[in-house]
Amino acid sequence: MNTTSNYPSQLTPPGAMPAVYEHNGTVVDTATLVWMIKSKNERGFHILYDKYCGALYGILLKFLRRKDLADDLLQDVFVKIWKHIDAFDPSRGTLFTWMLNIARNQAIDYLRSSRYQQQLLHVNNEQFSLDTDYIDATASSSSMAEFKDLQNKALGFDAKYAEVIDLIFFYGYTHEQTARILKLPLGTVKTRARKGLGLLKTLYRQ
Amino acid sequence: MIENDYITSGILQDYCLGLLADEDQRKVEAMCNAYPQAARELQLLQQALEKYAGSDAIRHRNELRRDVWEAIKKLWEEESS
Repeated sequence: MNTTSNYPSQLTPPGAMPAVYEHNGTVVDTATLVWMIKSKNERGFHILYDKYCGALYGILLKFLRRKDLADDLLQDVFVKIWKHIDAFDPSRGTLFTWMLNIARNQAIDYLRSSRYQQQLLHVNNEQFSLDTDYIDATASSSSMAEFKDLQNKALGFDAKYAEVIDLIFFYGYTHEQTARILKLPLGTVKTRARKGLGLLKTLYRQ
Repeated sequence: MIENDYITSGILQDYCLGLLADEDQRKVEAMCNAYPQAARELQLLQQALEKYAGSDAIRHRNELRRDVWEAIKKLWEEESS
């Protein structure tokens, strides 16, 4: 097994050991991956795509509820990642969190765009009725929600924690906004967010 | 054990979920620089979130990879012209 180590060491996040990715028998850590992207390295693209396309696509689908739109926006998200990689600061969070913010903002910008608002005027379909200022996290009618429920059941992740983590992490809501949406006391939301993430850590380590 | 108390306080979870103000984020990063066990715990929490997000992955068209790569190459061409 080869280890790619030719990269600027200052890119390594302070304090935390860098995440490591397996790709065709080669070990690549986060700092190397960022360096490859900055160097416009095609292999860097494939590593990034293999590791994160599913997660980024899933986030876009969460917001857009339509595969054709998610397909289009996934391209925009990756182009933005490539265009703004110099703005990524490893001391302020992980590469994944940075990319997640790009995907989330891209989806919200689209839903607020005049192009999307025009569609709302012409199509009377439940899947177009997503309100970006108020998302019903408890809705279970869509196939995405059903799929997610199945995933969480398989994982053993309780829905009461999943809904809090989803609203905060994927949709970017604050504790206070999450409490209002779920009609829960603020203290309960804070507790479930912390406990939920702790449970995820335990579940994925089993 | 300051380190254990810090790890179990829940602040690392808040950091991962993006719920801390800038000043508090800096404090967490300073703690992780000072205490390897806290840094390790932070990394495990971040990895759990990444896996959780990945569990939403839906199988989609294989051509999408090609389309995305073409879009990136087009960006480079525009930047260099």
